[in-house]
Amino acid sequence: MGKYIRNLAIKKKLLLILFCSSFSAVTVAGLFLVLLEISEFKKTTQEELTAMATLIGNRSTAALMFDDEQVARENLSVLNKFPSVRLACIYDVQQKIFTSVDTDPAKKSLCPSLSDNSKTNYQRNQLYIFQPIILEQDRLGLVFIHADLAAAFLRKLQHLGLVSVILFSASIVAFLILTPLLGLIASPIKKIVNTVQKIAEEKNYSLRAEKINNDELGVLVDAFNDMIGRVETQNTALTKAKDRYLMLFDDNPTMVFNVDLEGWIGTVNKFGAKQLGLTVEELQTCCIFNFVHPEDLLSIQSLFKQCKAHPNKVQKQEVRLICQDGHLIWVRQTARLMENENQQTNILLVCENVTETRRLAEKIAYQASHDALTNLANRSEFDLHINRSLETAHSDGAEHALCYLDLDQFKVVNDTSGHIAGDELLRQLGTLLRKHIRKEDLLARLGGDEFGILMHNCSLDHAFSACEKIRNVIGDFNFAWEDRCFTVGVSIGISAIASTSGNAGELLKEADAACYAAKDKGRNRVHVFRPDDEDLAQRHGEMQWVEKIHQGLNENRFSLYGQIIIPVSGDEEGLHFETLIRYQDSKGNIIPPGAFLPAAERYNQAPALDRWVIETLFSWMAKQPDFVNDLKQCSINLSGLSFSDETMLKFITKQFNRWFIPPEKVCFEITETAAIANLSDAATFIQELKKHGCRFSLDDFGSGLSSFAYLKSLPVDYIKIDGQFVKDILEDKVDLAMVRSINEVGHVMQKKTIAEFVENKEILAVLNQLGVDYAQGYGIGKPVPLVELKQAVLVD
Amino acid sequence: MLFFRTRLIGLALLLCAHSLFAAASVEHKIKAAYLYNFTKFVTWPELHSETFNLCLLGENSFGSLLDSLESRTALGLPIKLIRLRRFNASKHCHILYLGSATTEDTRQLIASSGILTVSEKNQFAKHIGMIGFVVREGKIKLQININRLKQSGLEVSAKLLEIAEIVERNGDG
Repeated sequence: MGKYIRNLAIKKKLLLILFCSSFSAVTVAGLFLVLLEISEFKKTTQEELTAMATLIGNRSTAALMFDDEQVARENLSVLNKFPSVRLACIYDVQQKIFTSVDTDPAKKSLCPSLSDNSKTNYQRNQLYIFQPIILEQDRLGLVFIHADLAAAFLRKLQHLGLVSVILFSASIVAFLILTPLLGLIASPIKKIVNTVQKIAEEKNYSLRAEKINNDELGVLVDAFNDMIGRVETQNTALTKAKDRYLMLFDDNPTMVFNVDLEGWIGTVNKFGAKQLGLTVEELQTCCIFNFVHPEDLLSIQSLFKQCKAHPNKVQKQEVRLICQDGHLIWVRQTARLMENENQQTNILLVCENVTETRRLAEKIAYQASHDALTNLANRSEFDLHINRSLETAHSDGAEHALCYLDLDQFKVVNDTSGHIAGDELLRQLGTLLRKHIRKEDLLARLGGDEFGILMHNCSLDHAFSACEKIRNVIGDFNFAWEDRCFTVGVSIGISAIASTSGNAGELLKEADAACYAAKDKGRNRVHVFRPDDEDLAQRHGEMQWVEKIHQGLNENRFSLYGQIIIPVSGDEEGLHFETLIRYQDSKGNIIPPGAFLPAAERYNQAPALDRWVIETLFSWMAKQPDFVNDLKQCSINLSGLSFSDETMLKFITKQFNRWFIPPEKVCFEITETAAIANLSDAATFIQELKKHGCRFSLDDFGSGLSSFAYLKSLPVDYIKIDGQFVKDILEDKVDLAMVRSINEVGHVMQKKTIAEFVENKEILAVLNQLGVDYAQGYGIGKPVPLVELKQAVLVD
Repeated sequence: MLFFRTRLIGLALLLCAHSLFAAASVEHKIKAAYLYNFTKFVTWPELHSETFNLCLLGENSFGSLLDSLESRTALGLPIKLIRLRRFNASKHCHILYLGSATTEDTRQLIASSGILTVSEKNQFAKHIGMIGFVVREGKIKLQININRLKQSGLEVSAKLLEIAEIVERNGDG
């Protein structure tokens, strides 16, 4: 109650005070009035009635003394005028009832019997008066009056009630008159309060309280406005600062969390919430661990432990977070222990989204370890696995097999249908191979048309049979490309990875050597490396040639040979030969090009070798003017790769100009397959050099099984008939017919024909009958160093 | 009648000892008491005597009923009973009770002032004296001749007049 009053509005309090004071004044006054009135009334009534009793007694002395009851009663009946008197009696000297008057006979009141101590008294609004009748000291009797004052009191109270009503009405009127005056105090205060409330609600500190009077409230308003002014200034500054920092926090391109030691999120910036796909509010009921990838849970928990153990140290870590929509992001977390505003220890967690970096790194790592074309593992990845296998072989004595696969006739596909077809074939073969190896085995593309298979926990015998299966699968595979169908073979070399094996490089060399051996035996077969094959591997391993060619060019290990070409008719036309290249190894052995040219073609070293040949030959000839004078034609082999080398034409032109070699004495030999593969390049190349006067010949014609139609688009001067047809011309009528038809077609197209592999005079005689223009082969002259060319002619 | 008796006995007790009236009739006892009571309501002009003299003239039936009055006082003076055969003015009677046997000569004496004359004779108040005892409805009542009272210089209290029958004043009074 007291609290309720204390919380009342000032105006109501004032009203209450006013009301209470007037009410209490009226009440107290009323009460006093009532008490006073009642006691006064009692007193007066008693006095009156006592006086009346005395009077009646006095008047009745004679009646008493002379026993005249009637007179006495008449005297008593005066009391009838008093409405309150109920009963009046006169007693004689012997206290016997002398006479009585009953104003209300219905009540049948009886005069009481007297005792010596009967005295005037009040009993509950009843007044009993006992007044003795005394005459000259003699007591003659007594007058008794019983008055009932209840009705009188009631009347009195009614009267007082009316007075009270008037008093209260007066109070209310006064109250009503005063109430508006309270507004003088209450309304300015109310206005200030309203302003304060409005400021509090709207947070609008530009509002001001209205000053009404110059009293204390006016001073208060001034002071208040002054204060709010200061608050406004400071609030604006604070708000700006807060917004600035909030923007810095929310728009920070990192996710900033404030989490407790159990991982529950206290604060998170908007950027962070957006990254996770939730709102800030939703996140504030979440645990950061709920978003961590299950595999990273242990590491983030250990990060928290580290933070707790080293409060001043910044901890870093990369983990995966799972966003609300389920997608995964990589973040770099930086965490540090800190105290929040409530002095609780929290962890400040800053997460930078490194998903892109991570993805890029993964892509780079994938690309670094995979072949882009086939999506198989690449060479370096393969090496890595070989090393791992080696480790297990060394530690556990496990036995693995390393297989080296080299496709046969792949070059044909590449040359005749283009690189796109070759690439597609490689892709399909990759898929095919993958289907036919065990899960635990690793398939890799090692180079152009080379694949490697690492067979884990596999004996050599098992590896051999597995490779035989693979060979069959590849042999049975038909590759269709633009209405054409190709089949390819594969040569496979196997080496064992055992506890005695050396390093990965050696193992690869062994497998490569075995593969080469398989090729050497006639291709499309499987060969297992044996340690006693080592010499062969040393000489022929294609893998080694890459480095050897590079070194050989620098160390001048290559040399030029020539093989005489003569007219079949026996006419004397001057010196005509084909330039050949030889490699001289460290032991002085001369190695023919069949050993290294495939490697040079495969590893793109062929153009470099071509340049070397041209430059070396031209510079040599420039020093031999006689030789040049005697020369009718010298031919130089060009690799198919050289057509596509845009700098080759310039190089050749430059060499002609540098060494003053007559172009018409130089003939470039290109293979049929290479020319067809890059038909437009080849045609452009040929036409360009022919402008200078150079000659061209199409090498190995017939081996590519291509159409004669190509000849039309290739403006060559010579056709070299493939030696495969020539060497058996004496026994094989089909070969004879082939040579004949090639020769005839060549002549029809006004091209000279040259037969290769002419091993004896019988063959030369047949060629003469057929009308072939030129012949070349061991039967005419073996390849010899250039200087020995003039003496090399066997015929004649 | 029982009521009457008890009432009278009450009055007798007021005046004197019960034993005194044992032999007297109730009526005389009351009258004896009334005689004394008159001293309370009547004022005499001057009391030159040392006693309040209650004179009984002639034969009366009070007997010794009034003797006890002599131990009492009236108007501050001791009461003295004086029994007279004949009226004697020198006796300074304040109240003079005329017995039944009294003769006409009383007229004269009654005319003398300052004496309250009382009697139970018939028509006494009207024709001769001032206060006469009469019986009404079994009760003893007073008849007062106010003219005579005033003429004799006595003053009577209105209270007494109130309870008494006022006898009409006569021309001779």
